[in-house]
Order: sequence, then structure tokens, then C-alpha cells
Amino acid sequence: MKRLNIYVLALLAATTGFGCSDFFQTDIELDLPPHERQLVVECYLQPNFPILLSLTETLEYFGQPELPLVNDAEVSVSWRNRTVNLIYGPLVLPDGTVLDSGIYQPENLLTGIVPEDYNATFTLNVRTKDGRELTAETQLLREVPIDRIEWEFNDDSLAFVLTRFFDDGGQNNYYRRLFQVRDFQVERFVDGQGQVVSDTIRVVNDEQDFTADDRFSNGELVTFGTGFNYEKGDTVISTLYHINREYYDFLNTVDDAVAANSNPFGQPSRIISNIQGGTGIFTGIAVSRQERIIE
Amino acid sequence: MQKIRLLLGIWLLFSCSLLAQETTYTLSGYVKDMDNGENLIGASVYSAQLKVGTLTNEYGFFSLRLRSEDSVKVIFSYAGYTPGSKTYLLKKDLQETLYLTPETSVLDEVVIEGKQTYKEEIASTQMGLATISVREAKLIPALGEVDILKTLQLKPGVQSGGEGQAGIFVRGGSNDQNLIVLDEAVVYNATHLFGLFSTFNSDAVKDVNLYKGGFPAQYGGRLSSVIDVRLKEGNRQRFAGSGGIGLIASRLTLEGPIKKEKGSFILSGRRTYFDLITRQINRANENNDSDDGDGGFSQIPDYYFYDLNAKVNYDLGENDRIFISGYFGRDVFGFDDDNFNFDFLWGNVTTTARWNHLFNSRLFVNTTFTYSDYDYVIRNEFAQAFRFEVGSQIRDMNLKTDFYWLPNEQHTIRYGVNVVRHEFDVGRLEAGSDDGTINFSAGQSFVAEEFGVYVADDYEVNDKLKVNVGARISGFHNSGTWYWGFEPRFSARYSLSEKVSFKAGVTRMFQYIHLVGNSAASLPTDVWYPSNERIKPQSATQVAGGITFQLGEQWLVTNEVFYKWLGNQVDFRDGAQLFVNDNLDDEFVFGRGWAYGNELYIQKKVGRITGWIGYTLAWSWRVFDGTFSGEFRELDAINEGRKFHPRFDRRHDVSVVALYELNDRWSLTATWVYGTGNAITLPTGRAVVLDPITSDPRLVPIYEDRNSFRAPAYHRMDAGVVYNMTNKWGSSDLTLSFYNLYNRRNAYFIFIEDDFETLQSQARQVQLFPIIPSITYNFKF
Repeated sequence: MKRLNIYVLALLAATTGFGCSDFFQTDIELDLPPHERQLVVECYLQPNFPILLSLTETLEYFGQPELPLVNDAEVSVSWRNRTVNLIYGPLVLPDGTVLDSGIYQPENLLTGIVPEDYNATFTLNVRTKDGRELTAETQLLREVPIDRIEWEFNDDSLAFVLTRFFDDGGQNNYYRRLFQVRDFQVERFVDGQGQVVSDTIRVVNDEQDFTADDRFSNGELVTFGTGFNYEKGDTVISTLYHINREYYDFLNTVDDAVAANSNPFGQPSRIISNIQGGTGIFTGIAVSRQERIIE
Repeated sequence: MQKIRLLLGIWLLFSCSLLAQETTYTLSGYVKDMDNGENLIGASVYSAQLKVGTLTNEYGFFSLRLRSEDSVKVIFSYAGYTPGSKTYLLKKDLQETLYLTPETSVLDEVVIEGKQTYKEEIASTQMGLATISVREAKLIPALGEVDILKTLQLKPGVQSGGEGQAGIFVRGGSNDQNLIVLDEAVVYNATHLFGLFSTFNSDAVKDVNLYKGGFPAQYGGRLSSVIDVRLKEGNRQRFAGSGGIGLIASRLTLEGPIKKEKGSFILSGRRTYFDLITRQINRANENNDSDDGDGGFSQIPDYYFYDLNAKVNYDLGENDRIFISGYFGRDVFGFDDDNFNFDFLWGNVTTTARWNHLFNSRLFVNTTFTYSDYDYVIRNEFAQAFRFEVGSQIRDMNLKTDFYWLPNEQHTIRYGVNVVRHEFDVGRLEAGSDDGTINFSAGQSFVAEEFGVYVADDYEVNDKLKVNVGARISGFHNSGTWYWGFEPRFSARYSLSEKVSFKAGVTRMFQYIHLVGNSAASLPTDVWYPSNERIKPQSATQVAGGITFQLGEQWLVTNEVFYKWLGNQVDFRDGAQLFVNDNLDDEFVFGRGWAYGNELYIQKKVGRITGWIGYTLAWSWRVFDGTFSGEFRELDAINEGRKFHPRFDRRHDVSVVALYELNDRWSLTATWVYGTGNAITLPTGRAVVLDPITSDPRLVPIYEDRNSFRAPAYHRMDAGVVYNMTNKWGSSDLTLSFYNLYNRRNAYFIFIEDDFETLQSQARQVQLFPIIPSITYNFKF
């Protein structure tokens, strides 16, 4: 449907010519009402990884530009009879720069690891200094392994890549699929002496990022494909996140909200969130990833 | 049912007993166009001397009871035609065909004794009716192509959905609450090019009636309006043709007698040629493709639409006529390159077979079978190895019989029955690959039946009071679930004098099928979905009252107030998955609505300058708080259960239309519209979603109250000049029109542009159409 909307807009552009003249877009002033700030939390629980959580606030649309970090909250995650307290910890970059990241992490990294307990209910509690409270619950998900990655070349020596996995027919499943390519990028920056220097660094480019459910492939071999975009020697990374319905709804409504702001055919919608008292997501995820060099 | 029959019997007995026992005879027949033999719908036939009159029905038939006198002068007239009159000395019932000659210009206008300019409008019990003649529509300046639906938007109480859109919103109702029929067959998606043009080719259309309220009992199935489009029947006198060449499309119509005075045919076609232009642009830029990632040229998809109309009619005898008509229209949208092939096709098919039979001069029956089909298909092929096809379809087969009975001069009784079989294919999906590793399908099919039985009496109680009393009983069946609806229809007119009348009415309607679309615009992928155990029918009750009076000799003023209650309105939950979903039932949410307003309509149909001024002041509301849902969840509430304005709520709506016939050759036309901006939803805040999975944070708009903002007011002036020419072979005209004459920047939509680096945002407005001149050459032979 997104591709269809792009075509519709292209056609409207062709028939009306919009986009090629100042007539068709103008800056306007909007008088938006005061916005009551909400807490935004993101926390993704992955077995054998530490619990990390980000806590921010929503902003007035035309307010002062700022990164709305909330760094004074009491945060804990509990399951069964255990509680892990999370504290605000700024990130320290390799060059010693301290980054105010808005990330909360376990007081003790060794005891703050997510266990492989797929039957436990994990509970999040957040309380800010000004008395706002958030709660949420979730469970962990089991990994859905990628079965295989294949590719096929066309006459122009360009390949498309297929990622295949088996869906578990015994339950409703939701997925987030990410497909990336390793690349090199020339970065220019100013060194300690004030000289502009260049460096080639390795980056990962996101090529595909979408959600899917198993309505049409329940219990079957599922295949995700790409376009004929890859050459021999390219390094591709295919990642399959097994996600729950709450995270699936959150991602889709975030996409809808972003799209509605730029799509005349879109219906603006609220973000569906499993956070009580704010917005965001508290969810378990399970990751399967394969990296291949196309040969 | 027995009670209803008893009531009807008492009603007829009571009203018939009031009749004076005088000798009366019936004058009946058809009123036709002298030039081409077309039946004229809504032509007036009356006797000023006896103060009785009637209008021809939608098949051109009239029947008038006249008291036997020495001689009775009968006047017959129709807008745009020179009125005629004839004196009868009735000794028995008489059947006649009366012919009227079209006025070639208003300068030919003949004033005839006893003819009152707005007699029918003042005398009729009908409220909330807007009519458009094709002649009028062709003169009104248009965006490249004459568009009947857009002309209707210029009438009070009728609103467009947005810039350039042919969608129609009537008295607070939504776009899917309009019953659009073409020769009695339902047209499910009456627009081309994502709502920019309507499907009706003006060359093939005879006339259009839009009912905003006071719905006649023969109509049912939608809540807010009925748009009844009738096709021409074809010239019975001679072979003729007409057409036009415009910047967007060209048209050609051929018509003629099958057998002179016995039958005729008409064949009409229209096609756009955007695709010819865009293909050339693509060809010129084929070496500058944006796939290279250099921000170059993006290939423009192919697009065109076409319409075909055909109709034949034949008189089987004096009392029997048959008509067969059909419409076929398609939008074709495609994109093709080496690895990716995309086709998107959608369109309507309608077929109508109609039989008119005259039992006697007082009982006329029309039996119609119609077939309607709307479908869309999206086909996608990738690398010649993977394919998917998705589509939806609705098909109707409708059988109906309508009786038109005149027991005496005080009563005109209509009754009838119809049965519709609806077939739905919703979200049909087929996907597959050559190696067989991808192979799945989805989709739902439903068959449902809809029924209607009605009776209505247009009863002239006395010189002052006339009432139209009727009722329709509707029913719907889907998968073992039955719904029934009782729909009273009542309207009354009280004449204060020949030039002033008061009118009032109440109607109730049910709608059993629902449009599934979550977009602000009308998209071809919107699908129709039947009521079922969970999805209950929508309903509406409307009350209206008004005054109609003639001002001077040339002006007619109508003012109507209305209040409408809307029950079981449907919408869709936030984040609804409407495209290919085998469980659409869970995506619906249910609510209610109400609308009220005042419509002022001042029209001038005679003189060199004709036109109208319309002004509507109205409010429209919706609330979705779970009252109507048995399985209500908190997430189902829209706007957290608080009332909100639908997008098309418009406080003020003004339209001014002026047609000035300078002389036989030149005509000038102008329209001006003003409307309060649409109610829109804008974000009040924004969140930063860090999304560590991609390390690509996003600024996400936070939407709070639905439709709590207003887009800037919309206004626009269009103007046109028509130059008429007479040639040896026929006549032609050259029409030059300017859309958006003063180049107003009307908002198509508003968005906020974000810069993630600086967290700065700027609101921007997108406009679609600057001043657009267009020229069309029309011909007729």
C-alpha cells in the first residue's frame, strides 16, 4: 500500500505538476494548543542480555529544540520474586566523551541479565521525581531461527536475496524483519588540531525494515525477498525478530502516525502502547541473524 | 403487515370519499423532445383553468385526471424548452404524446399565458431536491472536463471532500452514504483518478436528481442522499452525433433510430490521454533514472481511464416499451520495468434491462433488472519469478417492480418491491513463486440479500395542503442474520398563495452495507462489506422544514432547516489493518452522529442571466464511545469517546453560479465557492522513539483530539467563455475556462516537516491546482 501511495502521489505530481514550483508548497504558521508532556519508555528484553531502558518525554511540536531525557526516575523490572533496579547511566564513548543518553541500566550488570524464562511475566515500574508513574507487563519470546539465505543473479549480475524460515503453526506469530548491507563511508571530521581529516569507516545500511504476521503463512515456510540490488562481494545481514502483538501494534501505529503527517490519504492515529501512564513499549524480543557474503 | 394494509385501505377509502362525484377523464402519455424523441423527465403538464397538474415520472410518463368540460386547455412545459399548449374536449380517456421544442438560447424564450415560472418547485411536496440539467453542467466552468458530480457540489447542503475531489458529502453524511444510481443500477465507485473525476460522461447523461432529504419511498439502502442519473435514450428521429476534444479527454457519442419513432440507440465513449504525455516524458528521461541513487528522474506510471455507455430502447406496442442500457468504465494504472511489473485496474460495470407497461391510462408499471459490479485488481510481478494479486469485488443483481397508479386526480400512488442479491469478494489475495516455495491465498466471500417493499401516496388534500405519505420496509440477510427496518417517509406542503409554500418532512433510512476505507480520500481500494451478526446496519432519521417562495417574476427562494440523527455509524480502530484482512469484523468500531443546519438557495432560471446563490450553515458531529459495540475495548473508542467533527464538517458553505447568455454566439459563465476549512487532525506533540534495533531514532507525531483543527478557508473562482458556431453539418462550440481564476492557494493537506538534527519543525501546506486554463471543442451533428 505504501508503494501504491507513492505511485498515486507521483501521478498527482505528473498531472498537476506539484513539486516543481513554489506554488505547490508554502510555509504556514500553526497555532497548536499547549501540549501536556507524556513519558516515553522503550525497553526490549532479550534473553542473556542486560536490561536496558530509555526514558524520555514527549515535546511540544514547536517548542524549544531539546532532547527530552528524563534522568531522575526510579526504575525497576521484576519477574517472579526478583526485582532489578535500573539506574540512569550516561554512556561514555571510547574517546572519553560522556553522552547523556537517557539510558537506564542495571545497578549490577551481572545480576541484571534477562533470564531464559519464557513463562515468567516481567513487570516494569517507573516513578519520576514529580510523581508520574508508569507500569507495563510483558513476556519473553522464543527465537524463530532463519532456516537459510539464498540469492539468485539476473543477466545484469545483480542478485536478489531470499530469507526463509518456518512459522510455528501452533500460535499467532508476529515478526520484524531487518535486512542490512555492510558498506564503507567516507567521514570527514575535525581532529584535535583543528584539521579536517577524512576516514573510511564501516557502516551498516538498513535496506528493509518491516513487520509481518503469519495470517497467510501459518505453520508454513515463509520467504522474505529483496530487489535485484546486490553484487558479488556484498555483505548482507538478515535479521528476524520474533515479536509480540503489542510491539507489532506499536511499530505499525508509529509508522501510521509518521506517514499520516506526510500522506494526504493517511488517517492520523494514536500510538498503541502497552505502557500504562505514558507511551512507548516494554516487550520481549527474540533475534535470529545471519550474515553472508554474496558469491 | 396486516395492520399496514388496513391503514392503507382506510387512508384510500377516506381520501376517495372526499371526491366530488363528477365525470372525469384521463389524459395520459409521454412528453418528448421534438428534435430527438427523448422522453422528458419531470416535465409539467397542467391546466390553469382547472388548477390541476402533474409531472412526468422518471420514464417520461404522465397521467392527469381532468373534469369533463367544454374545452380544457393543457399547458406542458420543461426547463430549457419552449412551452406548448393544447385544448382538449374530452369525451373519453385519451393517450397522447406531447412534443416540446428545445430553446436554442434564452433569447428564444416564449412567455406563455398562465405559465408560472416556478410553479412546480412551489407546488411540489418534494423537499431537499437538487436537479442539474446537462445543459447547465456543460456551461459551468470545469477542471478540464465537464463533471456532473462536481456541479452538484455547487448546490447548498452538498459538499466536496477536498480540492478537486468529486466525492460528495450531504447534510453531514459521509461519502459512502450516497446511493448513486445510473439508469437504476447502483454505481459503487463513481469516480476516476482517485476521486478527481466522476464516472459520468456528460454527453450520455440526460439528467440528474440529487435528493438530500425527503427521500421518495422507492429509494433505500443509503443514509444521506440519492443521486439518480438517467442516460439519454438516443435520437428517434435521425442519426446524430456529438463529441468533444479537450485537454484531458475526448468524447464521442453516436445515436439514431433503430426504427423511426419505434426505437433508438445511443453509444458514447470517453478516454483520457495522460498516458500519451507521461510516456513521452518517461522516454525523454529514460537515461536519467533515480534508481541509480543520484536523485534523478522517477519514472511516471502509465495512467488512463475510459467510459463506455450504450443504450437501446424499443416500443413493443402502444403500451409496452423496453430499454437496455449498460456502462463500462475502467481506470488503468501501471508501472513496468525489467524487474518489477505493477498493474492496478479498477472500474464499474452496470447493466439495466427495463420494461415499461401501461395497464391503462391510470396504472403504469416499470419492471427493472439491474446488474452492478465494482472491482479492483492489483497485480504485482517481480523478477518474473514472484507474483501476487490482490483485489476485491462487489456484484449486485437487483430485480424491482414499481407501480405508478392514479386512482383519481387527488392521489398519485406509488408502490413496489425490490430484491437485491449482493455478492462480496473481500481482500482476495493470491501469491506464488515459480519454485513453489511461496504459495498462499486469502480472502472472504459473502452472499447477502436485501429487500424493500414500499408504498407512498402523493395526496392533494385541498388547494392549500398536499401531503406525501409513505413507508418502506427494508430487510437484509447475511449468513443467517436478519435485519428489518421500518422507514416512514412523510412530507407536506402548505401553500399560502400561488407563490409561497411551506414544507416539512421526516424520513428514516437504513444502510446495510458499509465502505471499508480509513482514508480521508476516496480510494479505489476501499471495499464494501455487508452487515452481519457483529456489524449492525447504519440508520438515519431526518426532519426538515422550509419555505419556498417566488421573489418578483424571476427569482425563487428556498430555505430549509434540517436535523439528522445518525445511528450505528462505522469507523475503524486506530492501527486498523484494512487491506487484505480475513477478519475485518474486528477492525470496525461503532458510534453515532448528528448534523443540523440551514440551507438557503436563491435561483434564477429565466432571463439572460441565470444561476443561483447557495449558502449553508451547518454542524456535524460523531461520537465513538463504545455504546454500540457488544465487545467494546478501551482501544476502540475514537478520540477517547469524546464527540468530534468529521473531516467534512463545514460551518459555512457558499456557492454563486452565474451564466450570462450575451447573444446567440457568446456565453459567459462564472462560479465562486467559499467553504470553512476541513476539520483536520494535527499533532500537538512529538516523541523521540530511539528504536535501538536500527539505531535510527524517529520523531513521531503525537495526535490527540481528532479533527480539532481547521484547514484555512477554501475559496475559488472559475470562469468560462463559450463561443457557439453553426456549421453546415451541425453546430459546435469552443469553450475556454479558467479553474481557480485568481490563483488561490487552497490547502490540499497540511503537514509538519521535521529536521531530526536540529529538532526544528516547520508547518507546510500543499496546494494542488493553480490557475488552470483549459479549452474544449465540442461538436454536434
